[in-house]
Amino acid sequence: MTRPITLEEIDERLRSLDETLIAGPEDSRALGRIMELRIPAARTQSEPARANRRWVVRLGAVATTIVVVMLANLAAAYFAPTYSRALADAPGVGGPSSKILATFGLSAGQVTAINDSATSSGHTLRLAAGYADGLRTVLFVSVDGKGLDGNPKGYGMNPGDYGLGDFRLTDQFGHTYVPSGVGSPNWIPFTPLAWPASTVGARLTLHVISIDALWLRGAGEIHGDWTLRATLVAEPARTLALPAPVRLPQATYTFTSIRSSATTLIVRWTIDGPILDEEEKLRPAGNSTTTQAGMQLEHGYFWPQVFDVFGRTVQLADWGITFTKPATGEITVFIPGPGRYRIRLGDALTADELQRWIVVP
Amino acid sequence: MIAQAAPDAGQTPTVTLFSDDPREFEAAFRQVSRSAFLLARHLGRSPDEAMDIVQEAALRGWRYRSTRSGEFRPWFLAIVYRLSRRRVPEWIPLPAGWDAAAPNSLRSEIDPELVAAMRRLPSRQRAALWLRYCDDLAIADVARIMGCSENAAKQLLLRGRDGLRARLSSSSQEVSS
Repeated sequence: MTRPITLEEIDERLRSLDETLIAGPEDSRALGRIMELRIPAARTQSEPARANRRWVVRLGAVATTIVVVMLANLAAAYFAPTYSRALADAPGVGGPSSKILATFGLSAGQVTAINDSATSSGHTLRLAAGYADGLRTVLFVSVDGKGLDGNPKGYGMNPGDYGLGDFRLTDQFGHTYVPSGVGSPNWIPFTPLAWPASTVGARLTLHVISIDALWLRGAGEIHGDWTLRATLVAEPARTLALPAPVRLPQATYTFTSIRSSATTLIVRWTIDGPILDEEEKLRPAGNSTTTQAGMQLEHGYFWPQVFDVFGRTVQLADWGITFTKPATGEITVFIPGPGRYRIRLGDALTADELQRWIVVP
Repeated sequence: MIAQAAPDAGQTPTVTLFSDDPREFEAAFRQVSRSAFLLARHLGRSPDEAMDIVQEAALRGWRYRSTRSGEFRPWFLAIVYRLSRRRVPEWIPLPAGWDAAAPNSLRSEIDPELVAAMRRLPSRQRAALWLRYCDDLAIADVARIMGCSENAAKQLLLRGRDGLRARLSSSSQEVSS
């Protein structure tokens, strides 16, 4: 039989509520927009000098042949990880929590456990896991064992919460990758792997030269020398066929690019027509708040959404409209996998003939 | 920029930051923006209204940053709370004592009973519980955010927990011998 609940039980359940709270599609969209508008500028560094590697082999003819064969295999394995497919897919100890992975539309089975660590200046950085496909590369790093579990919302507020400061990510061919998209100081999305690493697999080197004491908000930078390595193989991205334009009396929407990977879909389009003049009239000057009419117009004609085959909104990564003439739009969503998806480019464009279906193979 | 640490005995040190660097303000804002949004939602605002409130709070916060004393989080949440409680012009006059409805798009698969019980509480009790338990804020900070005395904040929390106790059942089973 059940007994009356105690105040202690209520307190405990309340404390864990935020961890388990699931926001609806409209909340997710609003939160995504808030976060999108507040992305700090990505830190980049000058292009690193390409590493020079030379091997000097002075052996007899037979030995040379053996060594050449061995080196060829080693080189192939080093420069082409797909050759050896040395992926550590075993469940990682202390990997990123499912809540953190979910913010990138990922699950534990989709990321590669890495667990490479380095210590400098009294702090240990661990590259716990990574993910790569043709549209993005994501790395998850803990500092002194923190940052990948617990309450991600609260991370950074307490003494001992560190995030990466200055860092550089390169592959075995010397290509540099820069942060791209919404992340945090510990879970960082980068630009997708570049050729040839995108084809043969990437041996990535994350060189961190400083970490930030997040709770001091810029006043606690610690310099050091941490080098973390990861091997990631990216599934390729595909370019999908473009659907027909959407035509209205006041606007024409023309799709310009649709690309997909196993977990991500990026749609780009242009908007032209009298709707842009209308929007310009209603756009607030300076910092004043958007008017009700302006909001309605934006929602109606400039707020895109992507739905799955069951009519559910798929998880939004980010989106934006650049109000030039013609205006350009871009939306990135995290998709659960292959299938049919419906694109709606504004809340007013609900009629079937104004929406477009695409198939992600 | 000046950072001051003012540790209290037995408590987590509080850090006060005075800065004119917009990037630092932006970084602090990003850390609190989700909490701010959910606070506005618990006070009955729609997702779009909550988004506008958080963005307006950021602009106001930046404009009046020199007036801040103490931690960024409660200071910013206080702005969000005030904006969320601001009366919205309505076509139909609202009756006296009308209270904003709880958000129905926020749910929990782990503890749906608690979410349902929270929805039935008055918005101020919801907000107080959210700030105290989900945002891990001290009672003094809850009072500061909600613009009331600490005793009043304690009363809100007490009534909120009593309201939940009346609607929740214990998840643990009583063992009968």
